[in-house]
Amino acid sequence: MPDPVLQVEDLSISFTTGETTFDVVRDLSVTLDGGRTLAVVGESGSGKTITGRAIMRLLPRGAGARGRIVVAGRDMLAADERELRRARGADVAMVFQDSMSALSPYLDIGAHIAQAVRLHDPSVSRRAARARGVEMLERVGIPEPADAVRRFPHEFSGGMRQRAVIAMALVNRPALLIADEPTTALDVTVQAQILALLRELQQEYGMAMLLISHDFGVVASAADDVLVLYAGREAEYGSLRDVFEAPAHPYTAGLRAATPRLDARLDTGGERTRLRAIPGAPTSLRDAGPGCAFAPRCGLAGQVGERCVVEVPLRSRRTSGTTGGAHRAACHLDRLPSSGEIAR
Amino acid sequence: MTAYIARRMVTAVFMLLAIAFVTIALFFGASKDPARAMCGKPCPAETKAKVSAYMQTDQSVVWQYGQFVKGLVAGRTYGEGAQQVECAAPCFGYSFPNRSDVTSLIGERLPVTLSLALGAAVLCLVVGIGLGALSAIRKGGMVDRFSTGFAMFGLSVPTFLVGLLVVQVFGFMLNVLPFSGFVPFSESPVDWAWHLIGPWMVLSFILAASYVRVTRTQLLNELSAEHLVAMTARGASPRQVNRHAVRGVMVPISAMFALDVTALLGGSVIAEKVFSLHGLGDLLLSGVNESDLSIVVGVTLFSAFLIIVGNLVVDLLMPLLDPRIRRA
Amino acid sequence: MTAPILEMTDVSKRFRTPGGFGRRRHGLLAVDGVSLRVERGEALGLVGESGSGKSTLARMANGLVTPTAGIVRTDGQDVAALGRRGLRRLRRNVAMVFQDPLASLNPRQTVRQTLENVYRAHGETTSTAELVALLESVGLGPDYLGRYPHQASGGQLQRVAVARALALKPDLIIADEPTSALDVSVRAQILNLLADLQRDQGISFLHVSHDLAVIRLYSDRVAVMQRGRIVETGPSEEIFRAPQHPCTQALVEATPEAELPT
Repeated sequence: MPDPVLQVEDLSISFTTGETTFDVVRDLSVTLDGGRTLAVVGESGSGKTITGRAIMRLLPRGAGARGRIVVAGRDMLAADERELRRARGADVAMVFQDSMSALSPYLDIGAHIAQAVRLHDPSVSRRAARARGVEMLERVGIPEPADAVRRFPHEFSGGMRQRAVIAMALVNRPALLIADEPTTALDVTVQAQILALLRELQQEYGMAMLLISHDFGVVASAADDVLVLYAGREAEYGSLRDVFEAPAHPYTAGLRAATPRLDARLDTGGERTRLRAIPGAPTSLRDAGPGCAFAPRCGLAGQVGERCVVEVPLRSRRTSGTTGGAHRAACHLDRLPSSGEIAR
Repeated sequence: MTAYIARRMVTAVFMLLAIAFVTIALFFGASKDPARAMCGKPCPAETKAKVSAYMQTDQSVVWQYGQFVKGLVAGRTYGEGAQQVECAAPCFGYSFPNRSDVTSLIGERLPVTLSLALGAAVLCLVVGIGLGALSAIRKGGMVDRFSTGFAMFGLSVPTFLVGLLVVQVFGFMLNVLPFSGFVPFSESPVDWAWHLIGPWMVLSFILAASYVRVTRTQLLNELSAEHLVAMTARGASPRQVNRHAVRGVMVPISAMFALDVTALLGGSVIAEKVFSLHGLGDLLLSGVNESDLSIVVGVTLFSAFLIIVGNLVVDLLMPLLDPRIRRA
Repeated sequence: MTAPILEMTDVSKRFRTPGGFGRRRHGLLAVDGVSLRVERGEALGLVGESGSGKSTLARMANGLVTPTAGIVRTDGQDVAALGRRGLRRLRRNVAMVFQDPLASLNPRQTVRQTLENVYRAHGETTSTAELVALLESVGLGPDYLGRYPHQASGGQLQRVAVARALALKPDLIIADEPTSALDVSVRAQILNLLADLQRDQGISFLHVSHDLAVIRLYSDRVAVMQRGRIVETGPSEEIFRAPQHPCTQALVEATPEAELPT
């Protein structure tokens, strides 16, 4: 069996401001094989975006990562600046949420792609690199690619611009693609097209994809496995089917119940159907108490008792796994919660 | 593009004509009579009337304006016989106290103002961008604190005070710099520069303050921009990323610079006065003091023209620097 | 018979693009001959993609944007015929809740000041007891009165924004993407709050959103907009069960299901 493309072991990320240092992510472990998609689901404060950036060592000033991150055989946390440059854009690439701000307003699309090519292979002439750009734009479905390479970011529609960003990210055939909310800023019809394109290219190139998202709809249509983060820690991990059909963490179950669905049958007994809402607001690792960070919002914490408030639950295997893969949750409850128990 | 420039030029001509009218109207609104200054003392009413007629200041504002426009196109003649004075087209007016047409007066004064403006502009650019960039890179450090204070001081102190301070300190106390006079560049470049260091320091100090601030905030914005993170994600080195960040800073700085240079070229009244330099600002001041309409209108129009040209240059330059401003 | 709370007849809005000396003016037709009504007590959902003109339409409903053509009537009154004072009365009758609560609240004002300003703008005074009751109606405790926007979470701020809209007891609330900027687990809270206000206080809603699943659950009727026109309207359930217009079909088709195929 080949080595996984991405291996994350006990990753913790901390921020230092002035005198104080605090963790925003703690003890994350994940492996991802080529050709598979792992969705990282979370809300504000969950640490999903910073985790994606940590994998590429793109942390802002004052942030640091501990643990181990191996991408395509390279230990990213031990790598020096030169090795990092070689990995970024070649082994691992990133697609950002806002394609407009991720592109330089002063360069045309061709220059962006050519830059991505030439940073990793300076022997390629500028002209040849731009030609690669035309090919790539054609591959991602941009009409009249020879004309499009000469256009500037602001001259594209949101969907076309995100296609261009994908072309730029994939031009060096990375083993891992980190897609941070790649469709959040787009209209639903465009979103569906972009997700289909990503799936198609993933199969063609056999790359692994880390899909960071807050949207269960997007996750359902793109992921193989799901990692649910809450306040910087893993809440639940498992195959898409396990997490969706037998959520083991009350937070996941609550999120599923709070997400409106178009196809769900409505028992319209006169009154309009309402969503079940999780009370309270998401928190961050910094603001969480000593116990389970979700406990204050959890409808089941009362049943488990004091343990939830004082003791951080460890990840443990859930036997419900229907697909044979690992399914684990960090919860003191020893049974599966039902959605009605969490949300009202 | 050519059509755009042409359209802008036509607009500019109308604007200049309007400025000329306002200047003339304001001048005649003032209670001083230009003929009085020329006719000497004592000045009997009869002589004054003669002088007035000769200078053509006895007519209405509208007539004055008409003559001015006519002078621009076809030239203008004052008086007759032995006292006749010709002012060839384009005539911006004739200065009787100086016995010269305004165009050549401006031409005489221009080298001084030009030397003053260009040196100050270069110095201000170097100091402003340098300090601004340093303080953005080491935000919160010593340089940052110094330059933020520097910018604050530069923005709030009046020019004359800085000018007098420089003259006092470097000219009198330390006695290392000359504090007045001008040596043409063609005579001795070293002396030229030596005499101008003082005024350059004063003007660039005042101007550099805003460059420090703009460079600092712009570079800070740019350094945290997502597209630079994306560039790092593509494998670019910090040096390549920084070089790219500079571009975002250059756009607003060039716009500011083009406008500041044109403003400087129009003459700086206070700095020229403090250092006894005879540039355009000094010319304008003497025109006002001696109630010399032609000089006031001429210099005003010249500065206005520069500012209009400066704006046009900025508008033409910006689309080249920032593709977002380009029009389809 | 009472007039519908909001009735728009053949309303259009053309935005001028900046012209100049010797240049032709072009306009952008954001809303193109739309007719729409919101009955009393009803929640009308307005869906469409970005640029379809749905926000412009919503803004015309309370006079924030003046229509180029057509008639907007609130409570049977022609908005165009209203004077300054009339417009002010209109704005207390028709309140607005925006997408980004942090951007729509003044960061330098406490919640108390924000709410008091609403009353002051309409020449009324208020008591602490009234403000506490108002906050309670949106599920916030009295301690929020002294807080600044940065001291509250997105969901709490959106509750404050709803409280501000409720302060003058409006008949119609226009909610423009009220939950798009919120976390998933908080969205349902706000949506349920708005649904309660409709049910318990009989407030009518014009709910603008790009999210079909939300609109389906929280609207009685739905209007679908595309390129400035309304292409389909009907009862919520019918529209989503059997969409007629290709645009609606495409939207329903493209909405990703948070559900796995079985």
